[in-house]
Amino acid sequence: MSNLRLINESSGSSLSSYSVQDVFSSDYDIYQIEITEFQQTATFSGGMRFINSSGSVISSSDYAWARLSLRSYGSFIDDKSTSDSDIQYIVGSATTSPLSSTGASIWVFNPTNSSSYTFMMFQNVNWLVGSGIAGSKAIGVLKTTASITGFNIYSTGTMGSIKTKHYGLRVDS
Amino acid sequence: MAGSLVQVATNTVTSAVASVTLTGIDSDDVYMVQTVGVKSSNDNVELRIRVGTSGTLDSDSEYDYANKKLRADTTFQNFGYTNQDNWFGMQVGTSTQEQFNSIHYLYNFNNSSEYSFITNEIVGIDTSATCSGQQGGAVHTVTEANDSIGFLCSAGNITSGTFTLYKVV
Repeated sequence: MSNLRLINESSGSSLSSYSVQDVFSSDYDIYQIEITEFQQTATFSGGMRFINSSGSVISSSDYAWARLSLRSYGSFIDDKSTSDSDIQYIVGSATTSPLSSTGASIWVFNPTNSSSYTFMMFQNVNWLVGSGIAGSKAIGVLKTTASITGFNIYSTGTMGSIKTKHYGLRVDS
Repeated sequence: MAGSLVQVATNTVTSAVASVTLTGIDSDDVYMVQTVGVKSSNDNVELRIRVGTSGTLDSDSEYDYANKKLRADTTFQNFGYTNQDNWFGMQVGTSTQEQFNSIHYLYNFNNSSEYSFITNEIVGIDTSATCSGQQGGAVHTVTEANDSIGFLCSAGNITSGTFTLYKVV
């Protein structure tokens, strides 16, 4: 049996805020989130936030992140922030066609450890109708020691559809 | 996702050690190493990575790497070096949240006719107390079979962290 265990999966459509609760637990220290389907029908960019054990989306300015944007239609871009209300550019683009889409792989470290910040890294690839391909290699952190049990993908517009799969990486001692 | 991850070795550090070596690479499969919550005893030191032969980490000057350092606070940096005696992971220190978390895929370690390659995906809090990490790759330019991979600091000890080696099958 694989040590990478499927915990559950989720989906949504026509929404601007996509929350998945009760994913992270003391069973694992490392998690993988796969965005397996994403289509947008409005102009927006979307960021990731974490959800605490009370079920609240953390929207304080305690996120720091850094992203290398790789683009087929322009120069690469360094994006970054030391104090933000989300980890930006998980999904989304500035085009509105349903053919604009995203695939992403996200790793999360130590979310439920109440003595550690929650760290993450992700890479994604986006097709932007009228422009071309754009991708990200990125890192981020939530600079609080809150116990994190879920995540939220937040957008400035309406997401057409989204599907995610959630895995825990088991360590057998 | 395709494939499975089968655990080969793990080491959770709960008291200070000079290095952590994960052994058990004995096939031509791709392997993956995950680290989480790695901390050092000394301030402002490098977290380093080496290949191992028969469980002993190689300290020769055959390590090359090319990484992009991502930082939340300032301009990203390129790190490209040849003929080092280790692969550079990250600058870490002793402040409470300074730590190293990473994913590495290992290629050709078991093949004595090929160099050993790894990819680097690293995130943590570094000695400037900022979120930083590295994305890139590295090679050990020796045609030998490596059965292990190890982590150590440029000075002092590793004081905590979990290191796990998986085979991708």
